[in-house]
Amino acid sequence: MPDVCLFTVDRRTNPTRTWRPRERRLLELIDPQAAGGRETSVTVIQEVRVVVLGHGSALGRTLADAVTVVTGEPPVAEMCPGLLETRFYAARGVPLMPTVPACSRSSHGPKRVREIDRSHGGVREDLRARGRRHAGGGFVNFDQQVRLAIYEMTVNDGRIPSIDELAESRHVDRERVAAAYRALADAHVIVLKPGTTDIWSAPPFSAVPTAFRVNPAKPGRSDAGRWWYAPCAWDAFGVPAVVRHDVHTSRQMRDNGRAAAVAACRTARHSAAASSTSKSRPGISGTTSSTPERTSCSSGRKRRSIRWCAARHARARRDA
Amino acid sequence: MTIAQAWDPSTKWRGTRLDPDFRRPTVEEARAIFAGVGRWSATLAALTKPELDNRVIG
Repeated sequence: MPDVCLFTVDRRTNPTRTWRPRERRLLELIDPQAAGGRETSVTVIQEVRVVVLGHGSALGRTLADAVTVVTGEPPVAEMCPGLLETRFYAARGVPLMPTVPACSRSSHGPKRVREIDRSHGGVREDLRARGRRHAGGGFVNFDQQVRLAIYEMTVNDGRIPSIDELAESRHVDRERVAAAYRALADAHVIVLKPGTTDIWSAPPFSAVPTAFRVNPAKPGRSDAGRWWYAPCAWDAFGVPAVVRHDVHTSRQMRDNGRAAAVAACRTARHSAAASSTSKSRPGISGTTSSTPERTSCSSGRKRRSIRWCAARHARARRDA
Repeated sequence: MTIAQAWDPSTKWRGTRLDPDFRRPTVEEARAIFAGVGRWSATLAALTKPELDNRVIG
Protein backbone atom coordinates (compact mmCIF):
# COMPACT_ATOMS: atom_id res chain seq x y z
CA MET A 1 0.00 0.00 0.00
CA PRO A 2 1.38 3.46 -0.85
CA ASP A 3 1.67 6.08 1.85
CA VAL A 4 -0.22 8.65 -0.15
CA CYS A 5 -3.00 8.08 -2.66
CA LEU A 6 -4.44 10.80 -4.83
CA PHE A 7 -7.42 10.39 -7.08
CA THR A 8 -9.94 12.57 -8.86
CA VAL A 9 -13.65 12.12 -8.98
CA ASP A 10 -15.45 13.59 -11.96
CA ARG A 11 -19.19 13.47 -11.60
CA ARG A 12 -21.53 15.05 -14.09
CA THR A 13 -25.17 14.87 -13.22
CA ASN A 14 -28.17 15.39 -15.40
CA PRO A 15 -30.31 18.43 -14.64
CA THR A 16 -33.08 16.13 -13.54
CA ARG A 17 -30.95 14.96 -10.62
CA THR A 18 -30.17 17.11 -7.65
CA TRP A 19 -26.48 17.42 -7.05
CA ARG A 20 -26.24 18.14 -3.32
CA PRO A 21 -27.43 14.73 -2.00
CA ARG A 22 -25.02 13.01 -4.37
CA GLU A 23 -22.18 15.25 -3.32
CA ARG A 24 -22.94 14.47 0.31
CA ARG A 25 -22.97 10.74 -0.40
CA LEU A 26 -19.62 11.01 -2.18
CA LEU A 27 -18.00 12.92 0.65
CA GLU A 28 -19.27 10.41 3.16
CA LEU A 29 -17.34 7.71 1.35
CA ILE A 30 -14.13 9.71 1.74
CA ASP A 31 -14.81 10.64 5.33
CA PRO A 32 -11.95 9.67 7.74
CA GLN A 33 -14.25 7.47 9.70
CA ALA A 34 -15.35 5.67 6.58
CA ALA A 35 -11.69 5.44 5.57
CA GLY A 36 -10.76 3.63 8.78
CA GLY A 37 -9.37 6.68 10.57
CA ARG A 38 -6.84 7.51 7.91
CA GLU A 39 -6.12 11.16 7.10
CA THR A 40 -8.09 12.37 4.18
CA SER A 41 -8.53 15.73 2.49
CA VAL A 42 -10.79 16.84 -0.31
CA THR A 43 -10.12 19.68 -2.75
CA VAL A 44 -12.92 20.81 -5.03
CA ILE A 45 -11.26 21.68 -8.30
CA GLN A 46 -14.38 22.68 -10.18
CA GLU A 47 -18.01 22.88 -9.20
CA VAL A 48 -20.35 24.35 -11.77
CA ARG A 49 -24.08 24.60 -11.56
CA VAL A 50 -25.99 22.27 -13.84
CA VAL A 51 -27.58 24.00 -16.79
CA VAL A 52 -29.78 22.83 -19.63
CA LEU A 53 -30.61 24.60 -22.87
CA GLY A 54 -33.61 22.94 -24.42
CA HIS A 55 -34.41 22.85 -28.11
CA GLY A 56 -37.19 25.31 -27.34
CA SER A 57 -34.73 28.00 -26.26
CA ALA A 58 -33.93 30.89 -28.59
CA LEU A 59 -30.53 29.41 -29.38
CA GLY A 60 -32.03 25.95 -29.86
CA ARG A 61 -34.65 27.22 -32.30
CA THR A 62 -32.13 29.28 -34.25
CA LEU A 63 -29.67 26.39 -34.49
CA ALA A 64 -32.42 23.94 -35.46
CA ASP A 65 -33.66 26.32 -38.18
CA ALA A 66 -30.16 26.75 -39.55
CA VAL A 67 -29.45 23.01 -39.59
CA THR A 68 -32.78 22.37 -41.28
CA VAL A 69 -32.08 24.92 -43.98
CA VAL A 70 -28.63 23.47 -44.63
CA THR A 71 -29.46 19.75 -44.47
CA GLY A 72 -33.17 19.71 -45.26
CA GLU A 73 -33.72 17.69 -42.07
CA PRO A 74 -34.40 18.92 -38.54
CA PRO A 75 -31.66 17.99 -36.05
CA VAL A 76 -32.27 15.60 -33.16
CA ALA A 77 -31.90 17.39 -29.82
CA GLU A 78 -30.30 15.36 -27.04
CA MET A 79 -29.06 16.27 -23.61
CA CYS A 80 -25.28 16.04 -23.24
CA PRO A 81 -24.33 16.12 -19.56
CA GLY A 82 -20.67 15.69 -20.36
CA LEU A 83 -19.99 19.06 -21.90
CA LEU A 84 -18.67 21.22 -19.08
CA GLU A 85 -18.18 24.22 -21.33
CA THR A 86 -21.93 24.76 -21.51
CA ARG A 87 -22.01 25.21 -17.73
CA PHE A 88 -19.00 27.48 -17.69
CA TYR A 89 -20.41 29.84 -20.29
CA ALA A 90 -23.99 29.64 -19.01
CA ALA A 91 -22.76 30.93 -15.65
CA ARG A 92 -21.52 33.97 -17.55
CA GLY A 93 -24.75 34.47 -19.45
CA VAL A 94 -23.57 32.96 -22.74
CA PRO A 95 -25.78 30.17 -24.10
CA LEU A 96 -23.95 27.33 -25.80
CA MET A 97 -25.07 24.20 -27.64
CA PRO A 98 -22.78 21.61 -29.22
CA THR A 99 -23.36 19.81 -32.49
CA VAL A 100 -22.10 16.25 -32.82
CA PRO A 101 -22.09 13.87 -35.79
CA ALA A 102 -23.97 11.16 -33.92
CA CYS A 103 -26.09 10.63 -30.84
CA SER A 104 -24.44 11.26 -27.51
CA ARG A 105 -24.63 7.59 -26.49
CA SER A 106 -22.37 6.49 -29.32
CA SER A 107 -20.16 9.53 -28.85
CA HIS A 108 -19.51 8.53 -25.24
CA GLY A 109 -19.65 4.78 -25.64
CA PRO A 110 -16.77 2.31 -25.91
CA LYS A 111 -16.58 2.78 -29.67
CA ARG A 112 -16.32 6.50 -29.46
CA VAL A 113 -13.97 6.85 -32.41
CA ARG A 114 -16.33 7.64 -35.26
CA GLU A 115 -15.66 8.54 -38.80
CA ILE A 116 -17.35 11.83 -39.50
CA ASP A 117 -19.00 11.59 -42.87
CA ARG A 118 -18.49 14.32 -45.37
CA SER A 119 -22.06 15.50 -45.20
CA HIS A 120 -21.79 16.32 -41.53
CA GLY A 121 -18.46 18.03 -42.08
CA GLY A 122 -20.14 20.04 -44.81
CA VAL A 123 -22.97 21.03 -42.50
CA ARG A 124 -20.55 22.21 -39.89
CA GLU A 125 -18.57 24.21 -42.41
CA ASP A 126 -21.74 25.74 -43.78
CA LEU A 127 -22.96 26.66 -40.33
CA ARG A 128 -19.59 28.15 -39.48
CA ALA A 129 -19.59 30.13 -42.72
CA ARG A 130 -23.06 31.47 -42.01
CA GLY A 131 -22.03 32.33 -38.50
CA ARG A 132 -18.98 34.21 -39.76
CA ARG A 133 -20.98 36.13 -42.31
CA HIS A 134 -23.34 37.28 -39.63
CA ALA A 135 -20.76 37.77 -36.93
CA GLY A 136 -21.73 40.72 -34.81
CA GLY A 137 -25.24 40.74 -36.19
CA GLY A 138 -26.55 37.54 -34.71
CA PHE A 139 -27.08 34.28 -36.51
CA VAL A 140 -29.12 34.11 -39.67
CA ASN A 141 -32.61 34.92 -38.55
CA PHE A 142 -35.61 32.91 -39.56
CA ASP A 143 -37.06 35.54 -41.90
CA GLN A 144 -33.83 35.58 -43.86
CA GLN A 145 -33.83 31.80 -44.07
CA VAL A 146 -37.39 31.81 -45.38
CA ARG A 147 -36.53 34.53 -47.89
CA LEU A 148 -33.57 32.53 -49.12
CA ALA A 149 -35.69 29.36 -49.28
CA ILE A 150 -38.33 31.19 -51.34
CA TYR A 151 -35.77 32.24 -53.92
CA GLU A 152 -33.93 28.91 -53.97
CA MET A 153 -37.16 26.99 -54.53
CA THR A 154 -38.29 29.48 -57.16
CA VAL A 155 -35.05 29.14 -59.09
CA ASN A 156 -34.92 25.35 -58.74
CA ASP A 157 -38.61 24.56 -59.29
CA GLY A 158 -39.55 27.33 -61.68
CA ARG A 159 -42.34 28.68 -59.49
CA ILE A 160 -42.75 30.53 -56.22
CA PRO A 161 -43.54 28.18 -53.31
CA SER A 162 -46.63 28.46 -51.15
CA ILE A 163 -46.36 28.52 -47.37
CA ASP A 164 -47.35 24.86 -47.15
CA GLU A 165 -44.82 23.83 -49.78
CA LEU A 166 -42.00 25.70 -48.10
CA ALA A 167 -42.92 24.49 -44.60
CA GLU A 168 -43.06 20.89 -45.78
CA SER A 169 -39.88 21.16 -47.82
CA ARG A 170 -37.84 22.65 -44.99
CA HIS A 171 -39.52 20.76 -42.15
CA VAL A 172 -40.48 23.90 -40.28
CA ASP A 173 -43.68 24.99 -38.62
CA ARG A 174 -46.27 26.40 -41.01
CA GLU A 175 -47.27 29.25 -38.71
CA ARG A 176 -43.68 30.38 -38.40
CA VAL A 177 -43.35 30.41 -42.17
CA ALA A 178 -46.59 32.40 -42.47
CA ALA A 179 -45.28 34.93 -39.95
CA ALA A 180 -42.04 35.19 -41.92
CA TYR A 181 -44.00 35.77 -45.15
CA ARG A 182 -45.85 38.63 -43.49
CA ALA A 183 -42.62 40.10 -42.10
CA LEU A 184 -40.97 39.93 -45.52
CA ALA A 185 -43.99 41.61 -47.08
CA ASP A 186 -43.90 44.35 -44.45
CA ALA A 187 -40.27 44.92 -45.36
CA HIS A 188 -41.18 45.11 -49.08
CA VAL A 189 -39.01 42.11 -49.94
CA ILE A 190 -41.97 40.14 -51.32
CA VAL A 191 -45.50 41.17 -52.26
CA LEU A 192 -48.53 39.24 -51.01
CA LYS A 193 -51.92 39.01 -52.65
CA PRO A 194 -54.24 41.41 -50.81
CA GLY A 195 -55.71 39.92 -47.66
CA THR A 196 -53.79 36.65 -47.98
CA THR A 197 -50.38 35.17 -47.24
CA ASP A 198 -50.03 33.95 -50.83
CA ILE A 199 -47.10 35.49 -52.66
CA TRP A 200 -48.01 37.65 -55.62
CA SER A 201 -44.43 38.52 -56.43
CA ALA A 202 -40.93 37.82 -55.14
CA PRO A 203 -39.13 40.27 -57.40
CA PRO A 204 -38.02 39.67 -60.06
CA PHE A 205 -40.34 36.65 -60.14
CA SER A 206 -44.09 36.75 -60.40
CA ALA A 207 -46.29 34.01 -58.94
CA VAL A 208 -49.09 34.84 -61.36
CA PRO A 209 -48.87 34.69 -65.15
CA THR A 210 -47.85 37.96 -66.74
CA ALA A 211 -46.97 39.19 -70.19
CA PHE A 212 -43.28 38.78 -69.40
CA ARG A 213 -42.09 35.18 -69.51
CA VAL A 214 -38.38 34.36 -69.26
CA ASN A 215 -36.94 31.09 -70.57
CA PRO A 216 -33.53 29.44 -70.23
CA ALA A 217 -31.35 30.32 -73.14
CA LYS A 218 -30.24 27.25 -75.00
CA PRO A 219 -32.34 24.26 -76.05
CA GLY A 220 -30.88 21.03 -74.78
CA ARG A 221 -29.76 22.42 -71.48
CA SER A 222 -30.94 20.56 -68.42
CA ASP A 223 -32.93 23.60 -67.39
CA ALA A 224 -34.19 24.45 -70.85
CA GLY A 225 -37.75 23.45 -69.99
CA ARG A 226 -38.07 25.88 -67.11
CA TRP A 227 -39.28 29.41 -67.28
CA TRP A 228 -40.36 32.14 -64.96
CA TYR A 229 -42.84 34.99 -65.09
CA ALA A 230 -41.57 38.48 -64.32
CA PRO A 231 -43.92 41.17 -63.00
CA CYS A 232 -42.73 43.69 -65.60
CA ALA A 233 -40.24 44.32 -68.39
CA TRP A 234 -37.75 45.75 -65.92
CA ASP A 235 -37.84 42.60 -63.80
CA ALA A 236 -37.52 40.40 -66.90
CA PHE A 237 -33.93 41.61 -67.00
CA GLY A 238 -33.53 40.79 -63.32
CA VAL A 239 -34.43 37.11 -63.72
CA PRO A 240 -31.19 36.05 -65.47
CA ALA A 241 -29.27 38.03 -62.87
CA VAL A 242 -30.85 35.93 -60.12
CA VAL A 243 -30.76 32.53 -61.81
CA ARG A 244 -27.18 33.29 -62.79
CA HIS A 245 -27.26 32.23 -66.41
CA ASP A 246 -28.30 33.60 -69.74
CA VAL A 247 -31.92 33.35 -70.76
CA HIS A 248 -34.13 33.99 -73.68
CA THR A 249 -37.03 36.25 -72.92
CA SER A 250 -40.27 35.77 -74.72
CA ARG A 251 -42.18 38.84 -73.94
CA GLN A 252 -45.66 39.67 -75.00
CA MET A 253 -45.58 43.38 -74.58
CA ARG A 254 -48.92 44.95 -74.04
CA ASP A 255 -49.75 48.44 -75.12
CA ASN A 256 -53.03 49.96 -74.07
CA GLY A 257 -54.38 46.54 -73.24
CA ARG A 258 -53.68 45.14 -76.67
CA ALA A 259 -50.95 42.70 -77.56
CA ALA A 260 -48.40 44.80 -79.33
CA ALA A 261 -45.51 42.50 -79.84
CA VAL A 262 -44.09 39.05 -79.45
CA ALA A 263 -40.36 39.15 -79.73
CA ALA A 264 -37.82 36.43 -79.20
CA CYS A 265 -34.71 37.92 -77.73
CA ARG A 266 -31.26 36.61 -77.64
CA THR A 267 -29.74 36.68 -74.23
CA ALA A 268 -30.06 39.91 -72.43
CA ARG A 269 -26.52 39.56 -71.21
CA HIS A 270 -25.30 39.20 -74.76
CA SER A 271 -27.41 42.16 -75.70
CA ALA A 272 -25.78 44.28 -73.09
CA ALA A 273 -22.33 43.26 -74.20
CA ALA A 274 -23.14 43.86 -77.83
CA SER A 275 -24.68 47.23 -77.21
CA SER A 276 -21.53 48.48 -75.62
CA THR A 277 -19.53 47.79 -78.75
CA SER A 278 -21.92 48.43 -81.57
CA LYS A 279 -24.91 50.55 -82.26
CA SER A 280 -26.37 48.06 -84.70
CA ARG A 281 -26.93 44.65 -83.18
CA PRO A 282 -28.27 42.10 -85.65
CA GLY A 283 -30.25 39.40 -83.95
CA ILE A 284 -31.16 41.44 -80.95
CA SER A 285 -34.62 42.72 -80.35
CA GLY A 286 -37.10 43.46 -77.68
CA THR A 287 -36.35 46.92 -76.42
CA THR A 288 -39.03 49.47 -75.89
CA SER A 289 -36.76 52.20 -76.98
CA SER A 290 -38.11 55.34 -78.52
CA THR A 291 -34.85 55.76 -80.37
CA PRO A 292 -35.12 53.36 -83.26
CA GLU A 293 -31.70 54.16 -84.65
CA ARG A 294 -30.20 52.37 -81.64
CA THR A 295 -32.15 49.17 -82.03
CA SER A 296 -32.46 46.38 -84.52
CA CYS A 297 -34.97 43.58 -84.91
CA SER A 298 -34.41 39.85 -84.75
CA SER A 299 -34.59 39.59 -88.51
CA GLY A 300 -31.33 41.46 -88.72
CA ARG A 301 -32.68 44.65 -90.20
CA LYS A 302 -30.96 47.65 -88.78
CA ARG A 303 -32.15 51.08 -87.82
CA ARG A 304 -35.70 49.93 -87.54
CA SER A 305 -37.93 50.61 -84.61
CA ILE A 306 -39.05 47.81 -82.36
CA ARG A 307 -42.56 49.12 -82.59
CA TRP A 308 -42.44 48.47 -86.32
CA CYS A 309 -41.01 44.99 -85.74
CA ALA A 310 -43.57 44.33 -83.06
CA ALA A 311 -46.37 45.16 -85.44
CA ARG A 312 -44.85 42.85 -88.04
CA HIS A 313 -44.55 40.01 -85.52
CA ALA A 314 -48.09 40.59 -84.39
CA ARG A 315 -49.34 40.45 -87.97
CA ALA A 316 -47.38 37.25 -88.55
CA ARG A 317 -48.89 35.64 -85.50
CA ARG A 318 -52.35 36.77 -86.45
CA ASP A 319 -51.93 35.40 -89.95
CA ALA A 320 -50.58 32.15 -88.59
CA MET B 1 -34.03 53.16 -72.99
CA THR B 2 -31.75 50.55 -74.52
CA ILE B 3 -31.33 46.96 -73.37
CA ALA B 4 -27.94 47.80 -71.97
CA GLN B 5 -29.35 50.69 -69.98
CA ALA B 6 -32.01 48.42 -68.48
CA TRP B 7 -29.78 45.39 -68.06
CA ASP B 8 -27.05 46.96 -65.99
CA PRO B 9 -29.14 48.50 -63.20
CA SER B 10 -31.56 45.56 -63.17
CA THR B 11 -28.77 43.08 -62.54
CA LYS B 12 -27.33 45.26 -59.82
CA TRP B 13 -30.76 45.76 -58.26
CA ARG B 14 -31.95 42.14 -58.46
CA GLY B 15 -28.72 40.15 -58.71
CA THR B 16 -28.18 39.80 -54.98
CA ARG B 17 -31.52 38.16 -54.17
CA LEU B 18 -29.97 34.73 -53.73
CA ASP B 19 -27.24 35.99 -51.45
CA PRO B 20 -27.69 34.77 -47.87
CA ASP B 21 -26.96 38.23 -46.54
CA PHE B 22 -29.12 40.08 -49.04
CA ARG B 23 -30.47 43.48 -48.09
CA ARG B 24 -32.33 46.14 -50.00
CA PRO B 25 -30.13 48.91 -51.41
CA THR B 26 -29.95 52.13 -49.50
CA VAL B 27 -31.05 55.39 -51.09
CA GLU B 28 -27.47 56.27 -51.92
CA GLU B 29 -26.85 52.87 -53.46
CA ALA B 30 -30.07 53.14 -55.48
CA ARG B 31 -29.05 56.52 -56.84
CA ALA B 32 -25.66 55.14 -57.80
CA ILE B 33 -27.27 52.17 -59.55
CA PHE B 34 -29.62 54.36 -61.56
CA ALA B 35 -27.04 57.00 -62.29
CA GLY B 36 -26.09 55.30 -65.54
CA VAL B 37 -29.58 55.22 -66.97
CA GLY B 38 -29.35 58.70 -68.39
CA ARG B 39 -32.57 60.66 -68.55
CA TRP B 40 -34.42 57.84 -66.76
CA SER B 41 -32.25 58.10 -63.66
CA ALA B 42 -34.20 60.91 -62.05
CA THR B 43 -37.52 59.13 -62.62
CA LEU B 44 -36.28 55.77 -61.31
CA ALA B 45 -34.51 57.31 -58.35
CA ALA B 46 -37.70 59.15 -57.44
CA LEU B 47 -39.48 55.80 -57.26
CA THR B 48 -37.15 54.63 -54.51
CA LYS B 49 -38.71 55.81 -51.31
CA PRO B 50 -36.20 56.45 -48.54
CA GLU B 51 -38.43 55.04 -45.83
CA LEU B 52 -38.56 51.74 -47.72
CA ASP B 53 -35.05 51.52 -49.00
CA ASN B 54 -33.40 52.20 -45.69
CA ARG B 55 -34.98 49.07 -44.25
CA VAL B 56 -32.77 46.07 -43.98
CA ILE B 57 -33.82 42.48 -43.49
CA GLY B 58 -31.57 40.33 -41.35
